[in-house]
Amino acid sequence: MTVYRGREGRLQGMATTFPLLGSLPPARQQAFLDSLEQTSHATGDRLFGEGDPGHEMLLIMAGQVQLRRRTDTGEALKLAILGPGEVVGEMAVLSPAPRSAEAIAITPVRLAHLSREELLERLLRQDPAVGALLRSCARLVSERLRHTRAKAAVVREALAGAENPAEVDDRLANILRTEGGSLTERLQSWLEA
Amino acid sequence: MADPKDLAQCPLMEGLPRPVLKGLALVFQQRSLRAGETLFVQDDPADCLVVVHSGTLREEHPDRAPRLLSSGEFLGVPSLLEPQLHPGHVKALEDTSISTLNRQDLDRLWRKNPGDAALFHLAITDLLITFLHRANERLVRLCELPLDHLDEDGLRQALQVIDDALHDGNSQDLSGPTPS
Repeated sequence: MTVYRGREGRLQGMATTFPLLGSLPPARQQAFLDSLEQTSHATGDRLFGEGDPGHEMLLIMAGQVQLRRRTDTGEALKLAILGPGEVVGEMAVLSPAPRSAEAIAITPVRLAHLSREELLERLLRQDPAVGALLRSCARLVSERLRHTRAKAAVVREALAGAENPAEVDDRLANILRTEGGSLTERLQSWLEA
Repeated sequence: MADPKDLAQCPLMEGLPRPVLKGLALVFQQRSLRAGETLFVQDDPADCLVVVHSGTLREEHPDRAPRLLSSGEFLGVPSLLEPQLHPGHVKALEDTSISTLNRQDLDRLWRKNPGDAALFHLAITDLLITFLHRANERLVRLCELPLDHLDEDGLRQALQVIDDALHDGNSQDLSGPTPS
């Protein structure tokens, strides 16, 4: 891992924009990213592990990061692949909690880091980038909660009319429309998608 | 202008320092509704947060049981964050006192006093994250049930776990309604 700070090591021609900073003009987004600590990682590097303390948000400036979780049987359940402009751990910076998944660089990756400490310090300085970030995060978490509840409602509707175990299987399979793995694992993946 | 003490009774703002509550109170509008008065009509554009201080509001939605909101309860967080439509009719069941904060006034707060606006957003997001974690924990419990061979008892448990996730405190007020 290589660590960069400020304009040192700035990626030439970098024009990654972050929807999470959406209300900021690109030049201010760039200035904000330049002001954060940045790191580069090789393919296969583990960025953090499941259960590690989460205290910072990682903004993906280049490359791809895979999120995965170990199942009870030890298999790696692939949750998502995230790329430039996407963010990992935005909830950790707002409300610290252990990481719920492992993050692995699946290509060479460049990240910008925003810790909770730095977020609060920038809040005191009234950094407009942090204002934009907070507003986007509130929208994002609200949307995630709505999405989670909507999925719960779909499962409820499927289960509510089932009269026997076979019908439960059929009804859940009808929602999940995936193959491989147990019904529980498939439901888990579907809920997490 | 609202009373900071009234705002402090709402779970969204209960942890905020008094100076921040005072700043927020300046951008909230206080309003009284008479019994039977309509506050919102379903599908009207929604752009404000409503906090109930006294009395009772009744929210009616065609697909769900009506909901009553009393002192300290709130609705409309999603519409404060981005343009929405009102999901149901809201009217006062009795004489009711409320405060409202609309998106334009929140934008004004961001321009005039970004520190207060940021802390308010942090408080909202913190509560949202709490409910999101709780919903996720309940769905993990659902996945721990033997779904491949659910008997009648198991099915009842599964439905209870989902209902707990769907009807958890203010989660609907924070994220908007979901199909029943």
